[in-house]
Amino acid sequence: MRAGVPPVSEEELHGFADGDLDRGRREAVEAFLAASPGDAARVETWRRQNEAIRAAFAPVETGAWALPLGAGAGGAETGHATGGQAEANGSVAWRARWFTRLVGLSFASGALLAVSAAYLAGFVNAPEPSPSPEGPAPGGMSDIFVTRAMSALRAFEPPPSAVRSLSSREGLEQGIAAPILPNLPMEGLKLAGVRAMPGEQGQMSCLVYATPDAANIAFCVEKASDPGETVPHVSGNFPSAAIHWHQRGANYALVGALPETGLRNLADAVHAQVEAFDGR
Amino acid sequence: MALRDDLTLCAPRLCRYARALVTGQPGSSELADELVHAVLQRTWEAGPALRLTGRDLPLHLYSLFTEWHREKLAAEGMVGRAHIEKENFSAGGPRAAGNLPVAPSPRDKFAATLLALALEEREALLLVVLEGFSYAHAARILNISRTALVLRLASARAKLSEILAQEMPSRPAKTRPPYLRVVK
Repeated sequence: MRAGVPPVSEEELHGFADGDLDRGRREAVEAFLAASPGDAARVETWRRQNEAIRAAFAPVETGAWALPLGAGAGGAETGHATGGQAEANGSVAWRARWFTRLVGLSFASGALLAVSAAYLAGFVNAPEPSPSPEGPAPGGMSDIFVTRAMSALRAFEPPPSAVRSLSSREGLEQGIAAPILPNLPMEGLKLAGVRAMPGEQGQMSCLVYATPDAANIAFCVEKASDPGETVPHVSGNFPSAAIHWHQRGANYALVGALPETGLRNLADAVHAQVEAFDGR
Repeated sequence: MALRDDLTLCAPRLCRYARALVTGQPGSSELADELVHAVLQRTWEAGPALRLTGRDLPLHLYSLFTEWHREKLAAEGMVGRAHIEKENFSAGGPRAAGNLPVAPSPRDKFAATLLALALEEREALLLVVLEGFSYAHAARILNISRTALVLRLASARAKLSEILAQEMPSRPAKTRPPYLRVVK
């Protein structure tokens, strides 16, 4: 181990791979790994295992799971059924209730957005007091991209019925010319809309998701000028930070009011999905 | 937000965890789904008496599921459903080779790899990696110390590395999310 580098425990190496370290120790672990290629390889293996697990189970959380509950504490529901029967009985009422709640969520998120936009505006425009602890933006990725990604949440108002799938079989003949934009694999996220903005390299697209807490998450991508790849970096401070990286010829950024672990896990899962995409 | 709404939000995650833990696959599993249903039902019936707020609800749900799943396995002498399902997905293994001549899919191999881990290791790994719980919360769910949790994680990862190194000596197979498509 290099002199001056604080000792790092095995537990901290696992915590580093899982995003369960505070910032101070994370820096210590990063310094330790830089001087210890063997341990760095082990941690990288763990991260790949994590990505594989998240990617393998990503489809489950996008599926609908009705709650087949009989009469309980609320007392509003009657009849006790199991499995498909209860699911069928409750599905219509639940759809109606969810629709109502989504409308309410839209209004609530609008109010919250006004506050968060003001905060973000001040944050983004304010001069950086010190460099990010995660270092500068990855090679080939401009700070402008990250800044624009963070601005994607400003005053976002979901357009009514404007979201539609962009999937096209024609893309199969064209190869992967466009950046891959996977669905965010996190339970409770609802796609609120898509935002297209001018980016430094051309068009920049952002998927804006509403969370159960009425906060929004923006997932942005733009084509990059070079095909290199970088590890995820953090800009800003949690819980209003951005995680951005360069992968498969595109710049990616995740922005939103999530705890660090949540945003990192989300970034890892997206990274895994993009990596696993083979274009066929 | 009402308890029922909170339960509805938690249900898909709990179901994902349950299926991953029991079968190693995202597909439906009778045992996993029944247990999830029972946990949700019990929590709903207990209702306000539990005084669950914020993060307490997911912790309660996962704790209850973990406890009941272990009880179920214990009742079946630890060689019950999970073991049978494990056998089904171990199509590439020497014991099952004669029974299942069809080559296992990458998903089946991945499931077999997960199920090759001890239950305690699988619980720890899935709670942290798949469900994103912090070490403190995962340890609380499993009712163990943080150190014990990390030991289980370390053991699980070491075994995964061994298995994956044996099965994929050259290049790991890519697991492609089925909903990803080339878009125009």
